[in-house]
Amino acid sequence: MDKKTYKPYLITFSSIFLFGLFWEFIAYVEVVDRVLFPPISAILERLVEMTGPGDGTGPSYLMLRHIGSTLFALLCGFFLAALVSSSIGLVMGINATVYQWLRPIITMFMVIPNIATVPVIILWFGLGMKTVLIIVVMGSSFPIIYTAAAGVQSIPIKMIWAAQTAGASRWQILWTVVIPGTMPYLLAGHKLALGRAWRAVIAAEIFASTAYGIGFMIFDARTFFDTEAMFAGIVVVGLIGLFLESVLFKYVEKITVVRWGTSTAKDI
Amino acid sequence: MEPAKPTKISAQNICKTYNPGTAGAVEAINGLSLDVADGEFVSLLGPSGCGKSTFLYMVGGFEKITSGSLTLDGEQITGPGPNRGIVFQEYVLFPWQTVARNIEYGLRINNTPKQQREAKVAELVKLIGLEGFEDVFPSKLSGGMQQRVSIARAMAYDPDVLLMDEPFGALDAQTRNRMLVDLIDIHQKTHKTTMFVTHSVEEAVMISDRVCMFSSRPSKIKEIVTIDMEHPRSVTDARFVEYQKRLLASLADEEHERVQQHQ
Ligand SMILES: Nc1ncnc2c1ncn2[C@@H]1O[C@H](COP(=O)(O)OP(=O)(O)OP(=O)(O)O)[C@@H](O)[C@H]1O
Ligand SMILES: [Mg+2]
Repeated sequence: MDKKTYKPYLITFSSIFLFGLFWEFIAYVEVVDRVLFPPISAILERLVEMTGPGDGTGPSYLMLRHIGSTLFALLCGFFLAALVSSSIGLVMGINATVYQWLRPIITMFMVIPNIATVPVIILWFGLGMKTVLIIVVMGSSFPIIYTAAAGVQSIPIKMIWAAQTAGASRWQILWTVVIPGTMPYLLAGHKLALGRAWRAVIAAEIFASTAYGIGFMIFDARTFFDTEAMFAGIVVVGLIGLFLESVLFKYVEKITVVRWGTSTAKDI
Repeated sequence: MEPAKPTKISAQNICKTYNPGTAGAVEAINGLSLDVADGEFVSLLGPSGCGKSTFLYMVGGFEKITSGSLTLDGEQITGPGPNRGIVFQEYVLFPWQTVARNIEYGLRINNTPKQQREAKVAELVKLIGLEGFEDVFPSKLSGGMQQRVSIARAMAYDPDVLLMDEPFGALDAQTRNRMLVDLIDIHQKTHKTTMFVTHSVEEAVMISDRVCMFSSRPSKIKEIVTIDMEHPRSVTDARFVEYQKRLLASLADEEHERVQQHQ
């Protein structure tokens, strides 16, 4: 690894480390009650303990179970949304009539905060994984639909002409021009959607989970005034979110839009 | 005199209005007629915004004519197809594909075997002078380099008709002259019917069998000058200078007209 490749990681790590130090300091001087604002060291200690096999009184590897449950709901919901919504968005981008009819609906759902629909979904489907999944799908679908449609429309018409004049059929144009041409938008949409899905899964778990899930755990720990466990959950949410956002998507972008030189990210 | 070649492209009294019947209607072409013989090299010259690109797009089958008749091999042009290759004024390469992939696009579309594709790419990359850039993405190329890739892409699948919209516009004088010589060479070998839009009178006289001068918008063809000179032509030849003078004067008239219209 040369200097250029590890530097961003170094900055990411250092910035989080410094934030942790700051937190520790605030907790140490006890501006706020220690129970309400535990030091980061105690939070991490609790996190390690919960991640381990446990003392035999409760389920073993409890934190891993919570994480597993959350990631399962997140990824299943997200991939389902990605598949269905990309297709809907592409169709909207290709067909003007479909676009005109669907756009108002999509826009409306885009601006409804995800959490507002949770009570209704619980009423319809009860508590449990199914409800969590549905909320995740709903939360992540609309940004993907929206950006996919906008992406198709952003493709210059002459690019389609260039393909047509080479003899490309409609399907060939879809695969060789429309989809790759929409890629920068699709990536931005999926990035936005994964962030939304992550928020949705935690919110949904708080209200609709019955045994596992990080959101459930945070809310459940409140009953016992176990702030260290609550913060441990929050730390896990942050770390996984950071991983999804900066590692997973950075990689996908690196092998697509950055390589093509069509990335929208600029250092102004 | 050699026997007359059959007509390849025939435009009869064509008109083109963009966005007809709306407030944004633009009458680009009004009553344009032109017959291009098979194997002929025709240049289109005219003031900016007169409708040269528009005419090319109609021959390409991308834009529909508003009225008149436009045929290719005796059949009305209804849409684009691989019997025509086009070089756009703005290059329009596929940014997600490398130089080689862009060039062989048409060959992939028609399922040409890999070996033939590679041979064709190698040949064309050499022609456009971009050896060593095969695996580079267009965003890393200069405007002139992109333009050359776009020329290669249009020629790769061997269309009957080449439509070129200011293909040398972004090239430096040296590269342009080399490409011009190469294009004359290719034309003499392949005899592809070519429509070549340019702003350079010198280019037009150097390369074409006939030069069509467009009038200002809404345009028609104002005059057609047959360049009766053998290749290779020399810019210092007295006849060359004469053709050039005549076309420059005609172009200046039209530019004058256009400016007056705006006032
Ligand atoms: N899609 C469009 N919609 C409306 N008007 C258009 C459109 N395309 C071109 N025009 C208009 O038609 C006229 C002819 O445009 P065109 O691009 O064919 O000119 P041109 O001769 O190629 O000019 P240049 O030499 O500057 O490239 C211009 O007035 C232009 O504004
Ligand atoms: Mg033009």
